[in-house]
Amino acid sequence: MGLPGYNSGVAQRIHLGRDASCLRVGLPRALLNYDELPLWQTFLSELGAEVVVSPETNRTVLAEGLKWSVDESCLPVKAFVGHLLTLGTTTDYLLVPRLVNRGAQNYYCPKYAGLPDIARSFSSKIAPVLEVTVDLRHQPRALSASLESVARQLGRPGCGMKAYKKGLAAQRSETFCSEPSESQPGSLTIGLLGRSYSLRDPLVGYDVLTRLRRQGVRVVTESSGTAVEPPSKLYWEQDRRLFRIAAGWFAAKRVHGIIHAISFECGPDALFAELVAHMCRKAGVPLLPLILDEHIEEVGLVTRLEAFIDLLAARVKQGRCTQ
Amino acid sequence: MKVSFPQLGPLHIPLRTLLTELDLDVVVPPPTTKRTLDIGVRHSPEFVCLPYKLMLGNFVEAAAQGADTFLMVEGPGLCRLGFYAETQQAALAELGVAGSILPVDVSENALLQFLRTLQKLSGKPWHKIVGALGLGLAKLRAIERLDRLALQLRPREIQPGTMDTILPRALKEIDEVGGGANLRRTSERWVAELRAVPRDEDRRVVKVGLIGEFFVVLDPFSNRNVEQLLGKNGVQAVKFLYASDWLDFHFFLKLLHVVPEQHSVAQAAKPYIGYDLSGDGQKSLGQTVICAERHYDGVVHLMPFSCMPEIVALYQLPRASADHDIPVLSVTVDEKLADAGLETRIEAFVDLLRLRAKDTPTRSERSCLAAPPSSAVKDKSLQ
Repeated sequence: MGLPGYNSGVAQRIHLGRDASCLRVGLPRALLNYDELPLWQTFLSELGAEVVVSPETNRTVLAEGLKWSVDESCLPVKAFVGHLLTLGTTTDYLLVPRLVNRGAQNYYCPKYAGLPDIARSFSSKIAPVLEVTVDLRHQPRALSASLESVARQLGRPGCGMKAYKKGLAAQRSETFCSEPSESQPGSLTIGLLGRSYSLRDPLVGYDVLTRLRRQGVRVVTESSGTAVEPPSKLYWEQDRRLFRIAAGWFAAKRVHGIIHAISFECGPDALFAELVAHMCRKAGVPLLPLILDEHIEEVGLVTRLEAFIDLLAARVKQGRCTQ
Repeated sequence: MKVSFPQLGPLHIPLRTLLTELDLDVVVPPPTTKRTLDIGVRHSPEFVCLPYKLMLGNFVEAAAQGADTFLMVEGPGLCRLGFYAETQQAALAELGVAGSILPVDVSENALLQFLRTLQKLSGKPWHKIVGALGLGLAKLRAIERLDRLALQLRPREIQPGTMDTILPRALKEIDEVGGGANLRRTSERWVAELRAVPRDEDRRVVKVGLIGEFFVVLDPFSNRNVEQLLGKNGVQAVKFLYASDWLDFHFFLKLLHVVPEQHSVAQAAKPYIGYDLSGDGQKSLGQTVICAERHYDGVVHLMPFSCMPEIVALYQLPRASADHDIPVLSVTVDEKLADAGLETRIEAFVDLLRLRAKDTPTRSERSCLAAPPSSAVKDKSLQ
């Protein structure tokens, strides 16, 4: 559980060249860092910084987040706040990128676009925030200037873009090691759809993946490519990726059912969930939308998962599945 | 083909005018009511924003009156509004509504997209379309002028509610009148009638900025008639964003690369929200700072439940409020907001503002005492 199984090479590279005088920069183990840790770790270490990633989400981290965040935030953002406060002033800086747009229809949600502002609202409790704005709708110079500003503050002027490119290369070369489903036992295969910062966080995602495997079910969270493109009007990067994954499952008739993990208050998912429901109805695949927030009871969650598994098993027995 | 659109405050008047000028068959949706809300809530995702639910309700009610084409905005961006149309269309199809949404992409070249849509719908020549749009905009500005005046004068009415018996008649006449000189004359007559309402000029009122998410600030059903509520409590409210401002920016100023007043709002917000989050999140911070700079007594901030840009704004609003010494009341609006709940909160907030102002000169008096007489600040909001 936790962060995807990145090669340990990244961790090794961080420790090489460390000396007593280099600056320490914190990265919160939440939100974008579940998808982009290699990028930002490498970026910072190329600029000579020692990178400190906050510990895995635990009850204390989450409690801090719940205490100090705006009530209406989604749970992943509350966890992010908890991680910020856990890092606190233990480092010289915190890096909080502002992800707005990565080209064409790949937008992020306004929380991602406002992450440094959310972080700075806690400025009395945390180290100063370094921000990099990634908005590819604008001139490339804007990104370059943003990277340079961080490089200067870390004492490496002129190195911003080079460090970022090394980060991108590291991100591309690190592979997500999700366990192939063929090696998993079980006669049922469930597609588990959800954003990384939810599914892979032990508390935010309620460990749904492990719970399902304990019930003897094969679980897949990725799929191989498919020719089906998301609708052009779906403009959130993460939802476009999830659409492709689900479309891949349908095309390969790979899953008996789908569980869609949604954080309560997730803006894009409030609408994307409807699209997923529509796709499942069209493909005749049962769907369990699972809305997660800090108030749900474990017992209730387990009951729903068990009921869904029973439903799928009954359908297989009755020969009603298309798998 | 019968064309309809969502309800949003007085927008149905310029929209109906514009579409009728192009000889289109228009179905004005019934005014938004509890029934509209119930329909919308039943067929919408649970935690999508209130505007989505209300607009869906409007489309269903308009369809019941024969509409089959529903105008709607769309376009990629950060906030969800740009993706409403897709999901609403699917909901309408599931409900068996015979008709479809006609989305207009307003993310880039909004004016051109809108004109093209009107051309496609009506088949009229371009000069007629531009003329119709001009008339619609002229009516919109006339209505907003009355609205601004009512906000300013309402707290001083001797007989509370008088202006709100006049305004519906004014809107009805503006809706029915033609263009040009007729509209100007009608507009001037109603301005005079509002100004003639007996007022107590010596009454001490508090001045409050009414800010927040565009839809709920402008839509009286969503905000439970907050403007009337504020007026009843002796508050002179000032709104910063009217529909015509949005249209001016997206239709004209962007095209001409002119930097509007909105830019100064973004500058004021920079220490708190450093980037445009789409929606009105950054504006909420900027407008709060500007209210403080203009020595207003307080700010009422409205947002729909689950509105993403405004949730980010909520992280920084307390700090902006403390830094600039201006009280801010944030009200989250959703289908569960009861009139009594809002009234209580507004009354308590106004009491607080009055207490703060009680033993001190008014904020604007203080600013006049501090500055030499020749540099008296002109309040742009009253123009």
